[in-house]
Amino acid sequence: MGVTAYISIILNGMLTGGVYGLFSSAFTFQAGALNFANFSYGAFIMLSMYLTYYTIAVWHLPVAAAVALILLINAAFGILLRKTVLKTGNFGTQILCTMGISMIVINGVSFFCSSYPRDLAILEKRLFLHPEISIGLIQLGCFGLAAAILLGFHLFLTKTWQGIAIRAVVQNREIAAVFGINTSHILDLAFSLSCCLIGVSGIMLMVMFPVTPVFGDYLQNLAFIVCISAGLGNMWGAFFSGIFIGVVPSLIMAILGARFQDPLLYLLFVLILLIRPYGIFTKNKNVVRAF
Amino acid sequence: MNLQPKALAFVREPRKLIGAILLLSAVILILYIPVTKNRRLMTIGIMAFMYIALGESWNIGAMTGLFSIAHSAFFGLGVYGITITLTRFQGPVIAGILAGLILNIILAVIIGGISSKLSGLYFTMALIGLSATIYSLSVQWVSLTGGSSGISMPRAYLLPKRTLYFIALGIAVLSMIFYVFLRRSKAGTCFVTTRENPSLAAALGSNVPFWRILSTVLSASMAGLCGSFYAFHLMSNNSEVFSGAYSLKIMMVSIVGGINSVWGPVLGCLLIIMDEYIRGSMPSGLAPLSVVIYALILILMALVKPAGLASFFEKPGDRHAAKN
Amino acid sequence: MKKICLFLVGIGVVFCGCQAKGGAEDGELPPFRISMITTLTGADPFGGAEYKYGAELALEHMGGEINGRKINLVIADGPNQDATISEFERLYNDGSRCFFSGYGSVADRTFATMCDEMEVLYLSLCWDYDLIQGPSDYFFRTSIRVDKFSGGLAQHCISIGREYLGKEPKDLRIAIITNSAVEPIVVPFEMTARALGANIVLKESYPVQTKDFVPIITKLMNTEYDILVPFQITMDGNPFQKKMYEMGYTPPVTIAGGIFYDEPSFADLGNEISNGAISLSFINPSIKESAVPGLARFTADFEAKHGRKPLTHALQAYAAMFLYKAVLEQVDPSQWEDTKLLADTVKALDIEYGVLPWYWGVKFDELNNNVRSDVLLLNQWVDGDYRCIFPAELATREARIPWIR
Repeated sequence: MGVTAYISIILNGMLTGGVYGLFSSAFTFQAGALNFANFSYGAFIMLSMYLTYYTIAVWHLPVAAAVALILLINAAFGILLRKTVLKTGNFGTQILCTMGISMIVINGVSFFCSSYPRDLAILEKRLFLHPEISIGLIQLGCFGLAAAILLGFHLFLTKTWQGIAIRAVVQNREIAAVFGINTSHILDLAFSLSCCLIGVSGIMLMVMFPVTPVFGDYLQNLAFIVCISAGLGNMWGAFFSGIFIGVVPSLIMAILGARFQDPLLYLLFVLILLIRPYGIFTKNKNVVRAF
Repeated sequence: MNLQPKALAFVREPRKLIGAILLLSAVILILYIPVTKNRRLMTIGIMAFMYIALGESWNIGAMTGLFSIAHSAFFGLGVYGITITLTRFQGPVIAGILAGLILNIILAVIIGGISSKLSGLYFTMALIGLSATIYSLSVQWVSLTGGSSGISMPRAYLLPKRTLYFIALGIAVLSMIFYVFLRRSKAGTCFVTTRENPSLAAALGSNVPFWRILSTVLSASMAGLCGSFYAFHLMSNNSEVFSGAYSLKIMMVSIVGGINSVWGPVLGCLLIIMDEYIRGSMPSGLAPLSVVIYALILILMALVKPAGLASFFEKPGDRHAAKN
Repeated sequence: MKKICLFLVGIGVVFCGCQAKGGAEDGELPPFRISMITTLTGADPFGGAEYKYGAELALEHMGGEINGRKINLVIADGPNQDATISEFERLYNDGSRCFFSGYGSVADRTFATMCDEMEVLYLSLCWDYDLIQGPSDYFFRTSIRVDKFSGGLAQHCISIGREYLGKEPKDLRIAIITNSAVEPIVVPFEMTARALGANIVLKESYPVQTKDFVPIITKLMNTEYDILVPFQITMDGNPFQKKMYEMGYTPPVTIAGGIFYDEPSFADLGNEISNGAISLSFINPSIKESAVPGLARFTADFEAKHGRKPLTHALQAYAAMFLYKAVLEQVDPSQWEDTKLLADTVKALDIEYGVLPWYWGVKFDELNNNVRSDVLLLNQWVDGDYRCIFPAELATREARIPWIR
């Protein structure tokens, strides 16, 4: 295959990887900053995708209303999770409860909507940079939007009062309380925001790909790989890691063959965990056993 | 110190008495079922016994604090070990069981090694990554594993339902005996100290990584044996045995039943029986609902009573008095 | 204390519940149950629904009864293997003794081991290679075996290469695209194609969850080949075809191995994508109507009821019901409860081609494989219409290969 083919594949992988990076950064925020092992992550992305499909393709709501609805539902779930599951600090309980929630969501969706793949059936126009290199316009748009949202989130965390309060609470809860910050409200806000990010990623993914109830599990595994290679808590790292994880499977597929994509990807994941579990992009080595 | 004869003390505690009565009625039920020749009851019994054994194997891992989130990997390796040996290599049954055991031991050693380097969320993710690797290998390596449609066991190995029932019963009873024996042995004590206070145990000279690996190996081997049995039950195996649904069920049996008790998985398998009944009596269109029900029960139990159902039958002070 | 008593009571109630079973009715013979477990929900409900419609239409055309005894068609939902096996046990406990496969036949290999012990007659439409593991009195393979299906496809590719593309097998280049779930079907195809001398220049088997097809399509675009042979299900076939169209790429000739490619959802992608695509099916209602009596009636009534033309799947279930009719007609209705007698009747069947609605004949060898289920049909999509192009005696349309858009 020529160079143009490889450039095409890499560009395409980067664009998809941008969206992976977006939802992985929300996960890394939850896991790293909020100390919450959320195993229902993929299920909620899948739920957002289904909601996108139903609001737009079946119920024909206007797009703005659909987006608002999805964000609201996700935020509500976030608050619900915080009130019930997050109350216990016990890590094992969190995993179990969120896995249980994930099973409920997945089976609820397959019961009400059946497992038939749903697709918004949008035919995407492609931008031809070169007769043999093309990128999808929708994917480009989603990539740009993902980067913009992350930038906005970063600015929120660094420039606004609430954002700084969140960072303070994450760093040291007791001292932050001494300074008069209502820690539990701030954590609620942080959690709901990261759940809204889940909603946005779901909408973007629905526009790009079809969905089945088990798609969430696949996305969750990808989120794990991205977060571990970036280092938990490192949001920008997660974005770039996402791009990396978008490109690597495509290259494996192109060079070795599609058959090797999954096994090699997961093996790479395990190797990263063994060799550099604190992340490829972070220098902080103390994250691992302190969890 | 309690000078009265053990029997009287037993009767005086109503919880233990109720437990004994329940146990007796369960034993009568278990022995009665094969007499009825009702296939459905026997199938439910077989699944319940198998999950008891799997639950005990999970509990063995939990003795050193191994939160085995992907236990179906061990189970599936046992299933595939025997199926592949019997079909692709035409080996005898013993070779198949051994193949499953060897694969499980290798995987367990790897996991035991990882558990000394990583903890908490990282370790859990490593387990998920490993089990996802095994699952994707089993799906993609079509020439060996038959891909996602799997392989059939040769017809010559078909066993009648009754035989399977008694084998499953035997496996369940043996696993419970093994658990009790292990817990009371020196190894068991070392396992528990590794979980409760690893730094102290290491300071006292205990070889913490070795105990971790040993308990993972024992846990994996037992799960693998259950897997080898399951191959005979289902007679046609596909990669779904590696899926998260089985892992969740095993964890549910152990955790809802009670991690630190030999009776925990026995109580936990009540949920399995309930699940089989619900799925059996309603049309399959409603089958996802039965998963919803037991997931809800799992969440409720995890939040409300983390010690599990078995703790209903013990007084609060019991655990420390008896186990120490 | 209360909780413990509740447990006891719960177990007791549930145990008693399963013991209670309805008694038999007196007087006129009760309706005879014929059962089918198919995928009404799950990843591919289209096929399952088609089976249901086909079977129900067959019952209607029979008048709901055979030789005076009413027939009760029991259809259960089996979205995956475990559920199918549970449903089988449940239906058995409710009295079902005669079954035929549903779409996908996901659990037939397990049933093959159970039928003799349970004394259940099972007419299987499954195509798995290792379905029949030994002699049986009750389990029958009525449909084709997968290696014959894929092998037949390979032979068709070779003959199309010769006749329409002017290429001898040694010059013929084939590209295979498949997913991991259906890869077992591809293995015999590859073996036969190589044995006949063709070149497999590309074979990509990706995980079934793959959504991003740009790398694979780019690889395809950069490969020199003559025929594309995809084996895909709806979940991946749909985005794959869409992405190829978006990238502005059309394969020279597409000859598919069924599954997604003989379903209307492929044609729903649009004529620009689906026109000219060829797929292999076993049996298809759009063959010459004179070849099989009653086919015209089946097609017309199906279209009237469901608003679209029937496909392979509906015809399979429809024909399976008529196969049961052929069996049950030979036995006195009062003796239908004797499953062994029915099974012996099935073993002794000798039906010629063109008698049953699916065109195949029925005659079983000593391992209960149907030796007359070897006719495969190659069909082509034109403007949403899926018609037979080979073999010539059943064709209803001229093949146009390659399709010029």
